[in-house]
Amino acid sequence: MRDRIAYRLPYAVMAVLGLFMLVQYYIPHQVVQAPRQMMLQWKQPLNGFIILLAIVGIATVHVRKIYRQERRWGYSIITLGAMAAMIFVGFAYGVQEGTIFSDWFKYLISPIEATMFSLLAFYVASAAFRAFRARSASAAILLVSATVVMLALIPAVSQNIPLISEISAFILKYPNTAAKRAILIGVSLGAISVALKTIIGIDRTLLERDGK
Amino acid sequence: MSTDPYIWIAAILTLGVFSFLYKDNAFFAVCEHLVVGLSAGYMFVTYWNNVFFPELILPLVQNGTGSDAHLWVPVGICFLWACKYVEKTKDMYRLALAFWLSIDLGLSIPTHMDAGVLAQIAGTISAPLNGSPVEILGNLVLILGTSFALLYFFFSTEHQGVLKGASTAGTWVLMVGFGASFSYVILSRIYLLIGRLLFLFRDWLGIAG
Amino acid sequence: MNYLRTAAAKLVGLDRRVVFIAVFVAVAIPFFLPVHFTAVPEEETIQFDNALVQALQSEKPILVDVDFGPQTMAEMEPMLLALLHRIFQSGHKAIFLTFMTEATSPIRNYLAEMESIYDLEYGRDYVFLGYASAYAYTMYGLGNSFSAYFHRDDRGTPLDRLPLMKNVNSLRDVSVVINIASNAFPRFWIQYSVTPHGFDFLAGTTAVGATEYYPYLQTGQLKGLLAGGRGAAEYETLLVEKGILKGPGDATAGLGAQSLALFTILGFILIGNVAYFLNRGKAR
Repeated sequence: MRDRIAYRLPYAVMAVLGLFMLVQYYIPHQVVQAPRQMMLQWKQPLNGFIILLAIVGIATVHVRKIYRQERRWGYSIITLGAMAAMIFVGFAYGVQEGTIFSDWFKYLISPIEATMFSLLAFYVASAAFRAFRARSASAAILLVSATVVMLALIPAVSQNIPLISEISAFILKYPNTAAKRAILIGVSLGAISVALKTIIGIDRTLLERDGK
Repeated sequence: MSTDPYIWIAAILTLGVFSFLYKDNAFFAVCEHLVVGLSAGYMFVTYWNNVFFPELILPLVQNGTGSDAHLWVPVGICFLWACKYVEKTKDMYRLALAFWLSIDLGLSIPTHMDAGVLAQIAGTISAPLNGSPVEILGNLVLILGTSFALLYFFFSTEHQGVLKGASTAGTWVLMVGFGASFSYVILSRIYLLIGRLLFLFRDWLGIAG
Repeated sequence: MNYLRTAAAKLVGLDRRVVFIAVFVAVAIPFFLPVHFTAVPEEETIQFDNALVQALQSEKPILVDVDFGPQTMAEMEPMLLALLHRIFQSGHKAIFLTFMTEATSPIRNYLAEMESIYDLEYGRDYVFLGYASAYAYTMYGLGNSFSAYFHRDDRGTPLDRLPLMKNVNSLRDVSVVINIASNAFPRFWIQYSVTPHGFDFLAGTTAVGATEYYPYLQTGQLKGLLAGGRGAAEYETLLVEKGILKGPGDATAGLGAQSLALFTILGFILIGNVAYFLNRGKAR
């Protein structure tokens, strides 16, 4: 009985609800739209619950690290302390503009996260220097396209050298659109195929991977 | 130079992260662990305040036997999801996962078909072949380029003869697109660095306009 | 020739920290030079503003979904601020929401700033609905109902007590949806909401993702696009020309640094390729 619930029922749920969500898209009648609305509403708290579990998971990992005094466990104290402090100020003083919660976001979280991402400017320059070579006809086309678009992004160039802006705009509007559209159609068809196979139970990888 | 202690803290943290460019060090590790903790705490409070409490707990408390009674279903699914963490009941988690996936997958089929396939095909075949010479050339590039690039992804037949020529032209179109993306990626990353340097030079040191 | 090849080989073998210093200097120097650039608005930016002008002529409020955090603030903040000035200076009403937790705090900050500049009243001139999870399903569901996904706004007020939300039941009741996002959310808006429900949609994205939206511009699923910091600079120029902004903002201030940094990276790419071809000749 338990095997049926745990291993067969999920496929039935997947098939029934999946096909319902597919079919409802084409049926605007209230009989179909009312349950659809409810099902969509359920996703919000469910997502919230999963994220809350994930945060509890992060805390557990760091508590374990400190308890076992694993390598670099001292840093885990910083993580746990910061997490506890942020939760405390959020619940104790509120989250609106002008609160400690908002100030900590602006002056502690923001500068660290923004600077971490800004490091990518250095790495992308280094990568372009070392790897961006015209080794083949395709690579040469990529290089020429990138160079033209980059030059057009420099105001001193685009406003003084004739046609560079127009060529860049042409690249973005036509061949770029064609390339991105082909990828988009391919990705969409792939996603549809995976979704259909999973719903009707041909592809079982998504459900088996985590369930076992 | 700023006299605001918060600006000073932000500047020190900024320099701490930049120190990673030289090599990994304790200062950077402190910043890294600090931001993980603060962000997790921030997310916890935001999820609680904006999702869990107003969209689930409060409606159930106020109207749990009325029009919001259906919200007991996600409570049950959350319970099934939590079964994952108990050895004896962890199989039941598959039911919650099935529910989760079914809505995602079911809705993705018609929306992908409409927005990602049909609308794109319609846009391509209806590209007008009139107007200025540049527009005519551009739309020809668009129609043929999309077709050739799609042929490059067609693997059911071996790429030989005409198909090989078309798919090679398809790769060229793709390369032009990737080149445009690459230049925009570089631009984007530079802007992020500009933001940090503006903060250091203008907001902290006050030496740049 | 041999001298050139040796020099090229040495250049290619440069310590990456030398490249880092060059990039840092290229970005830093223009802040101290009295040189100012402006970005000429491109077709997509002009389309964006034209579509927005049409929406501003409607009685219905505008829905703005803001999805960016500190990571991409340098690119996205000037764009959003220009947009907020555009909306509120025209006296139009707007509803805000986000699908990204890290955007909640910055949005409160920007709206407080706008409230003091334009003397706005919360609930009547603007509303911040707060954060919603399950973005794709919420975007899809908003086509039929706001109150099903937002029982209360960000300040905990039930939606029916907010005057601005009285006549707003679904996306049919807003004049345009604008998504200022650093992630793929504009694509999800188009897929899950614009295509099935059919409304005008505008987007501002980071430069990283901007090129992916051109197919949607061509089909009309997207009516206008602001592409990253450069798009923001173009929009600032446009709004200065129209007298909406008193002066250009941070996106325009970064154009000098952006120019020199791009020149530097182009220089590195050129050096790398010259060295590659010189050494390839030697290998043969």
